[in-house]
Amino acid sequence: MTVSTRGALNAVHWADRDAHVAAIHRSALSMSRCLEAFRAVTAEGETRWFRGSSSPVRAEDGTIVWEGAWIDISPWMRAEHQFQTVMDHAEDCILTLDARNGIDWANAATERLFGWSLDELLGRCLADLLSEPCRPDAPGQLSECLAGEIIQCFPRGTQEVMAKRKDGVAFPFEMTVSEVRSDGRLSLIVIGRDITRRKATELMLEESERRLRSIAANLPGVVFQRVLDPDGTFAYPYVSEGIEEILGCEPSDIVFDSAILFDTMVDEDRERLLASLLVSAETLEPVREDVRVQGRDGRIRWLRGQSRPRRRDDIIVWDGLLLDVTEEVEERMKAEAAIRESEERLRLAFAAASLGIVVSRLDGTIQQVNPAFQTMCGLTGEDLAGQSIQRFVDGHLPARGDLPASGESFCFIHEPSLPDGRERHWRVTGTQFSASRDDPDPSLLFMIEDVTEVTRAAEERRQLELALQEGHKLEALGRLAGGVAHELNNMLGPILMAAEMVSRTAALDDRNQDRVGRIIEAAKHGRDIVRNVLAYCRKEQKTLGAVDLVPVFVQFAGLASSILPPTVKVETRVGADTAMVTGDGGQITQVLLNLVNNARDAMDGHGFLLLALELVPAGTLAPPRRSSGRANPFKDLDPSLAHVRITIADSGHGMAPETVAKIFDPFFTTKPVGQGTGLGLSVVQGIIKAMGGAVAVDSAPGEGTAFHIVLPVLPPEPIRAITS
Amino acid sequence: MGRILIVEDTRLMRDSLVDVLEAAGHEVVTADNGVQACEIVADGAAFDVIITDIIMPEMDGIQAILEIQTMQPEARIIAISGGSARMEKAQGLETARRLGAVAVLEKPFEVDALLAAVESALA
Repeated sequence: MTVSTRGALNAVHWADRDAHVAAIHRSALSMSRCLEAFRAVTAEGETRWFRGSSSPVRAEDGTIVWEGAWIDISPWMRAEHQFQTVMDHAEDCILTLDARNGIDWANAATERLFGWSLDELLGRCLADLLSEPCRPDAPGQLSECLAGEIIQCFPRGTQEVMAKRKDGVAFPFEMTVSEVRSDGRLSLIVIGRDITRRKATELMLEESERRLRSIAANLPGVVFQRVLDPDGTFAYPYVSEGIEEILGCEPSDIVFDSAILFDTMVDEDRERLLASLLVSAETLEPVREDVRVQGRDGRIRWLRGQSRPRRRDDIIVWDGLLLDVTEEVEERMKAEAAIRESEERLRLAFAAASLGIVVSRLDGTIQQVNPAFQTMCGLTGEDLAGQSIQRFVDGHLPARGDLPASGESFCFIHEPSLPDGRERHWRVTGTQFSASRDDPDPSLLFMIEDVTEVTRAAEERRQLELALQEGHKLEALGRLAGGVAHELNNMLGPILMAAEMVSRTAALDDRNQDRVGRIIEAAKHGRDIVRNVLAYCRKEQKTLGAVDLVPVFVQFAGLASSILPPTVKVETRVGADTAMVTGDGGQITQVLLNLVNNARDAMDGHGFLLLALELVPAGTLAPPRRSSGRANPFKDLDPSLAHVRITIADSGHGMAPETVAKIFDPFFTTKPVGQGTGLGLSVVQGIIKAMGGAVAVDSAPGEGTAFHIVLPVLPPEPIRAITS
Repeated sequence: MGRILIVEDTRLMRDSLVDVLEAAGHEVVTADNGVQACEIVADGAAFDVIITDIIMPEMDGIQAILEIQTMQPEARIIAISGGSARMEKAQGLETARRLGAVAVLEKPFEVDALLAAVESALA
């Protein structure tokens, strides 16, 4: 600024220059004090504000001289300016109220928000801007109001009210009322803002929180937040209501004192959980632990806690969920117990099975064998460890690629080569199995059954069947041969005898004697041939006809004593006058003779023999007390028919059940070779069966034997009408 | 020497038996089968020895033995058999033996065997 005795006008800001000069002129004209206010520009180009006043004095030469002072008011003006700028740019409404609550100043934001211009605002009561009349709420404030000259006062401090704009639209408005005293005058400053957006956000938050709480309350468990303070203590700032159902305490109890929660835990579970939490706090990895808690009802429950940690400043916060998994855990424990039990049973079965059980790898390497298999192969578990099953199955094992799929089995019978060289037959059933679905290394399970006896029995049976077939062929041949033999023998007899008679005459010369000798020799040779052929001869079935069993039986009974030693007492009972059956008297006699012979042999020359014939009325047929074998011997008979029963009971040594079971088998005999009639009991049975009857045996060791021959009785001949 | 009844259905056999026994000095009567034999016995004729075939038509030897024994319990019977399709020769003879035949002979037999059996039956 250039100031000289010639004046400082140059320094005055050009914008203020005219006004400044005008003021000086006015002062000069009126010779009154000149109030000076102007901006000047410094030599550095800085604008500064000056204010001052000067008094004009007219000199003798007419010159007017002002004497005054300027004060640099730049700092004040700048502050004012700054204040104005702040006010104008403030987002919040700022207004001041006079003693009568009239607005005596408002900033631009107020104009913008309320829609009133500053002029319209000035002098208006603040209450006009609010949609609900704002009253002094508290007596305390009222009394303070009365102390001043304010008629209506607003509560001091921050409050949320509803305001209304010039156009009548209401909106939430937060305002802070504070009082300012200056120059002994009380005024109120109101700073306020539109909180529509904040209210909406708050509402949303509130709704969101309500929703979360509702969700938490409805969750089957407990939502919680856990924090670990730097001092190492755990706290639960939030626990949802579900805790009440589980532990019987209020969420606030635990929020207040987390020890309540920890104290309910079973000691070892609490220690484990705390350890896991510390690890989680370190690694920030989620925690998952099952802990047992004892609620107020004394019941132990399983809680599964899952929480995810995060770091907030120097504390660790876990948000998590606590679920009551008691049922699940108990189910699981029950299932585990069942599995253990099942495993135990399987282990027992494995150990106790009579089947040999071997588990091997696919290549056949033995992994496990049961005791039965050790016994079967005569080797101990140690001997077998690491050996290959191939040793026992000799190439029967399918190649790896040919193994049936898991669940299907392969089976073969073979003779293993065993260390002791015994000849055994094993039936091996193998199957592939995997411990789990994606087991890369499945195993083979072998069940090994020693079927030596079975195959041996089957072989014997096969042989027997072959023999029977052969027997049938021979029987047919025998029948033929028997017929031929009879005739031949009857021819050979005369040849032999006649030739012998001739040879005994002295008249023969040597040559003729030789000739007769050849006849005799040839006849004898022929006899031998016939005898050999006859060895195959078997009895032939006669054509059956109706025969009365009673006379046949009576006649047989009469001669029975003659074939028994006198020391055997015979009792005969005939309980019928007639008993017509389909059969052959001669065959029946043969059968009875055979049975009596057996009885005689069983009695060793002493005892009692009962021969009885009785009728069995229709519907009363019952097998004997100790029937032979398992099956009812009368199963092929029709119980609704009348039967006749011949019983031959001796007081002999009786038979064991196993003997009884076999007596009707062909080729079965208890007698030395060459003894007996040759009519086996199988033939007896065959004859009686052919007659439509059945044979039953009732015997026990030491209690004698009774044979029952039961034949259906033929119905009486219908009476024919005789016409002449 | 004895009086002998021969029961045999085969003519050549029957004639041979008669030839041998008569040559040995016995008095021989013949029957063609069991029925005839029973009739002869029933008529009251007494025989020291009865030689019977087992397998014969009309009435076989076993039945004949049973019948004759009812009439003449003391009859001394020799059974002879060549067997048949129905019954092996040994079976018939065994049955006869059990029924009380003093001797049994399988056809064909030698002269000496027959004579020895008859001698022992007469003894």
